[in-house]
Amino acid sequence: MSINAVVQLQQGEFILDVELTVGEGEVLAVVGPNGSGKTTLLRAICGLQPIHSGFISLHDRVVDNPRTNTFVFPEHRHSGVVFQDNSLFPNLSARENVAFGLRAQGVSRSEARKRATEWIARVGLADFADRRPSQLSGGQAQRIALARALAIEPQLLLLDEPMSAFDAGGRVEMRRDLRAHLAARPITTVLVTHDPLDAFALADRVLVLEHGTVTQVGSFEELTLHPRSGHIADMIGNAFGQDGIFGLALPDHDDPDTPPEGQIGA
Amino acid sequence: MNRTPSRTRTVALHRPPVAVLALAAIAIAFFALPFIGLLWRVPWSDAWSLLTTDASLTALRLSLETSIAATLISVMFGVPLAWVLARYGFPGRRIVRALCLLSLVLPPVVGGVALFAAYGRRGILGDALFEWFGLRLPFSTAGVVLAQTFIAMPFLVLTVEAALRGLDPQNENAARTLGASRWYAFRRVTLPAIRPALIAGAALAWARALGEFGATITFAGNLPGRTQTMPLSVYLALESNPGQALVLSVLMIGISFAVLLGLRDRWLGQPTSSDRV
Amino acid sequence: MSGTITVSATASLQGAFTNITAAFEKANPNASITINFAASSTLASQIMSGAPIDVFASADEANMAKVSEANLIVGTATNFASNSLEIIVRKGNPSKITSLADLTKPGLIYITCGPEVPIGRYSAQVLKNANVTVKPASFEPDVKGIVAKVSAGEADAGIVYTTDVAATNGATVGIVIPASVNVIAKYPIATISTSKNQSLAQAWIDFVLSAEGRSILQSYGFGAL
Repeated sequence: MSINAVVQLQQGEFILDVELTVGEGEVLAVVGPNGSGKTTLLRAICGLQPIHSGFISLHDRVVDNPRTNTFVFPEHRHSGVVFQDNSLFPNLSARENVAFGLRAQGVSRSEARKRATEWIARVGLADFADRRPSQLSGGQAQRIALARALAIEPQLLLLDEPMSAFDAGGRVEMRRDLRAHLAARPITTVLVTHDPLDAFALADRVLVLEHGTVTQVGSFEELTLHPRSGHIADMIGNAFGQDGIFGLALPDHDDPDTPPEGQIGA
Repeated sequence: MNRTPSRTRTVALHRPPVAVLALAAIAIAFFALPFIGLLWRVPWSDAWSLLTTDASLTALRLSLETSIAATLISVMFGVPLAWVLARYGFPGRRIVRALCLLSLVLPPVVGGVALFAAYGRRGILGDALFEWFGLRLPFSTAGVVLAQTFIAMPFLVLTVEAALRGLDPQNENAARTLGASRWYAFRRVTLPAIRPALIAGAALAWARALGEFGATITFAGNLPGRTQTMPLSVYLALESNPGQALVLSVLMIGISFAVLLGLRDRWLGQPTSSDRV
Repeated sequence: MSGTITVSATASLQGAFTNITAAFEKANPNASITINFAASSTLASQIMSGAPIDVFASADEANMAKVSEANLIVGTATNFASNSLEIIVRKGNPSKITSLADLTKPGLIYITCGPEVPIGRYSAQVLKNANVTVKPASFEPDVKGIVAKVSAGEADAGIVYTTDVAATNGATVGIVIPASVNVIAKYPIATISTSKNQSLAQAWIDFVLSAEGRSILQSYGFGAL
């Protein structure tokens, strides 16, 4: 599902004005400092935040247009969302969480259970399927949240700071797994993150959002080699440690077996 | 026992100052004394026979049936009302909310008079109800249920609405993005999350319905077997057989006490610091 | 006469006693009378539970006897008025009641008071005298409850005192009950022995029994004794 959107809205003093296109199967990373509007943008795309002007169109279907009074509810947008705080349902087990979306869409209990079990295995947590969210570590819960979003086979995947629950080692693993998932089953993805390493590892293109406006859009290499602002340059430079961009050996993005960070002395 | 020395010392750490304890002790005595007095005055030797007279048993059965019916109706209509009041910001919401909670602060007899104005023979709906359904609400058991519901439902609405307002909508949002309709999300995510408040609200509404007097005697009247509930029965027994009034009162208090005791304070609000400690 | 007293009087005496009290207070500016109206049975219970009442006027001798047996009255009670019973219906008599037998009409809502309340007992006696069996829809706590519901049109008929019908000033109409089956209610009055102002209490009772008092009672429809 491609995305074509002009997202304009105001919350108090904050104004968000973003033009956004994502191609079919493309991974777009939205990076920027805290408070830049990244989460709001994501919520607008999945339908939890109506826009005030502009339009959002998913795969040529207009899902939000204030001028024509069009608004499609979140449950009809075929998007899978992984929230920053995982938002797992506390009264359901991991398996029931993953099965939730399937059951909500009418899949039979046994079939939903079967598929949920498969997805939990795919994120490497087969032994934890019957645990409650309170019995999972932050990282494990985030993986279950990912499985839950993927289980409904969405046409659009929205990830809000998916690495936030992991420590450094966990982040490496999670990036690798995510790349594997996306490579095996390409889904149009919007990945919100404040960490440019995530963008580097996972994204085809990067959109930089600062104070509600887009300061640059392009591939990671473009941002690295031609940063449009000092801030962007700093952001990328800081991501790669003391050596800065000159110590960087850009990995081959088509080789899923190469851990992206493996060549960087971080 | 879980009263280890360390727990006792921690409890002592949070003990309020003596002056506060003294005032609280007076308040406790204020509440306890009437009940102790009742227990002291009850004619225990006759208690069982007084309790099991036909009139008492009929009144008890009627009270239980009507109060449970009133509670079920309160849940069926009160939960949707709470949902609307908590989540749907329609214009005039504050006025509507005040209207729905009005019977909480009204004297119940006034409620009874108002019910006549709506459902009595000369009330707004009275004739219509009779013509369409053959239903005459005043002086009927259905009228008792109506009066109890009118008085008790706001307790449930208030409790559930507060819980819904305090709920982080994030989980419901997550459910919607997973393809759940509003109704499915409410049923599978929201309701389980407010289950304690729902239970507490229903229990309070039931207890209030059980004790309802003013609106019942005004609107439904007083007829053994049809509309004479326990509270009415106690009121009348006061004049004819004070011993029976005492016994019935103690029974009603016992039931209500058991319900309140069963509602642990973790269902009535946040866990207290003494629980966490 | 001076001081304050509280009088507990049966509900049917509301109009007459309010009037009598106003006249008494006019003649005795330093006296203050508070009146408490309710069913005689309720008032008797209150007195026996220790309520600080100075005078009790009941609608029947039975409730006065309860208080007297508890040694709570001074001397013996005096009967000061009588009342007879009527069928009460709403203005215009929409249910077309003409006799006690009409109370058995199907669908008619007849209300009364419980047997502890004097009017409850009296009306049951009247129906028994006339050999009529009616199932009441409700036992109201006092006679004013019957009057209120019949005037409001929520109940069709009841049996109350003639004075109660008169007191509604036309909102209700009384259907005469034949004297052969009717009951004469005798109203006794007495000073309560725990009264803190027995002389004022007695003075007030004397006023009720005086010519002026009796004429006020008669104007409200009470019979002489």
